[in-house]
Amino acid sequence: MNKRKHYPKVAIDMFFVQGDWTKWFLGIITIVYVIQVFFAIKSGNSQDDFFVSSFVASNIYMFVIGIIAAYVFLPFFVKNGVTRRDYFKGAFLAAIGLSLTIMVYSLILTGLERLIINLGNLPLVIDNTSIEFFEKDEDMILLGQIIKSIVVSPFISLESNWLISLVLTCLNFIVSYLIGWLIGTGYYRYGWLIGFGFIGIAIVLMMLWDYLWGSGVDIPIFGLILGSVVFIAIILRTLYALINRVAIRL
Amino acid sequence: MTFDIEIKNLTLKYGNFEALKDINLKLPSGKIYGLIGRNGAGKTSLLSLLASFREPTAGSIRIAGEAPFENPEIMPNVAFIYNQDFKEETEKVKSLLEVAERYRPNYDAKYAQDLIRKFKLDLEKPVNKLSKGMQSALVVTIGLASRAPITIFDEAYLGMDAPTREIFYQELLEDHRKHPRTIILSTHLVAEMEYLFEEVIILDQGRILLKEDYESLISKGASFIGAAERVDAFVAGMKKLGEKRLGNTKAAIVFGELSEEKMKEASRLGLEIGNMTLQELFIYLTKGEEYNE
Repeated sequence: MNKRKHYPKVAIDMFFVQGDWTKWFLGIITIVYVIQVFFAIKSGNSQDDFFVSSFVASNIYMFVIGIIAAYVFLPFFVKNGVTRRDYFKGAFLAAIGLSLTIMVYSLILTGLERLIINLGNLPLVIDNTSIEFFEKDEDMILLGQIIKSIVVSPFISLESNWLISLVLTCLNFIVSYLIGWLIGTGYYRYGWLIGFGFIGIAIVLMMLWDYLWGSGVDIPIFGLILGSVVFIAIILRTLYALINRVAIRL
Repeated sequence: MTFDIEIKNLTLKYGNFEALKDINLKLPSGKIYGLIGRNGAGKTSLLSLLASFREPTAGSIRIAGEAPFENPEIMPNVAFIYNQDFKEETEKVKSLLEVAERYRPNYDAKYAQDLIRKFKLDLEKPVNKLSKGMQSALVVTIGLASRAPITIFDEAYLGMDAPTREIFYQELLEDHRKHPRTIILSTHLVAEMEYLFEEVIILDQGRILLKEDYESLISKGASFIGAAERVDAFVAGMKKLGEKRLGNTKAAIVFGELSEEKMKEASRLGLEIGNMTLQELFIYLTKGEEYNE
């Protein structure tokens, strides 16, 4: 009997369906950014480049579609005769694909932006220091740190180390998606009361992720990547344990 | 590969509630089975176990000799068709059919087109904009065109008008003849659908009440119509499923092996002999009285 592998199909289908939503998302944040630039030029203020500016919104976006990954796609695929395992693998691959897509789009648009500013000699000052506001958190109270962890993911600017910056950006998107997916799965499996507990777990995970990359911990870059892989692997293991025997509601 | 179903000592609990109690069932592949039972009898629970929507609390299910849950060889070959909630489904009819085509190994797109024409489905319409009956027509189309070796229709006709249901029944019989496969029809529209069944399974309060070949089951009962006192005298001591009286004429439906002499006696008494319907038997059996085979 030929072994049918369904997960590549799931990955492709989820990538394109979510990709459709992502087109809208990227379109909207691009328009918003252009409007921002317009006003920055008019008023003579400085402006973050697109890469920095889209960063927070993209992470939140990935978090939201992660939640939907559980609620919409899990029952959908099982009802079509796909195993939970194939769904799980496919959804994760799609999340990687989407993360890369968003990152590449931001990168291209940022490059384009620089090119236009230089060629067109536009009177726009690019100043990416606003993101540092989020990096300095020693004065923050706990609640502030929690909120910061939720809203902003750790960030390394393109200027300081472009490769690490891109890797981290992509990892951030993936982690945001996984955390959303974890909450969605927790709710789907256990209902709202225990599901609420998953929000707590998610907050702890976000803080751990921040702690790993931010807050000046002196870990060599290799250690950071390794730490990230372990971190992601733990979330994936937990997710799979939740998904692999879950009952599908009619 | 034949997709025989074998269920052993199957129990399903939701918390403390036992939805299915020690079910044992063998369903050889290729037949049309009627699964009937009252609301809450456990029909949908049993079917969702076959479709791997959930796992049993105890006991086992084997399909084609294998445990179906999370089995990539089995799950694509079991289609569970029911009246889904499509309120949020903004995708077009077309895209849902494409999904079935992608994930169901035996899907027949040409046959699907055929059914779409017959049901007058609009391919371009978002699914949540369809009427309830049209949504049912859509899931039925997907179910039939998927040609899954095990196809389950759980009250899939809800909202369909009578002529549309008729198309469904005719298509089902016709396609089953051309492409024999296991079809399980779960319903409480027994009267309307009983002619479709090859075998009947009656589920009551989580237990299998009976499983029998339709023809032989039906031949065990009969109705007798005639003058009230004659009918009464004739059926005395027999298992009565029900009776109706109009003026001095009475109809009594009885169940149990009817001997040839008994039948002859009925003719001699001038009683009109008719068939018992599955509906009558079903109502009688699930009213709460004991049934001894």
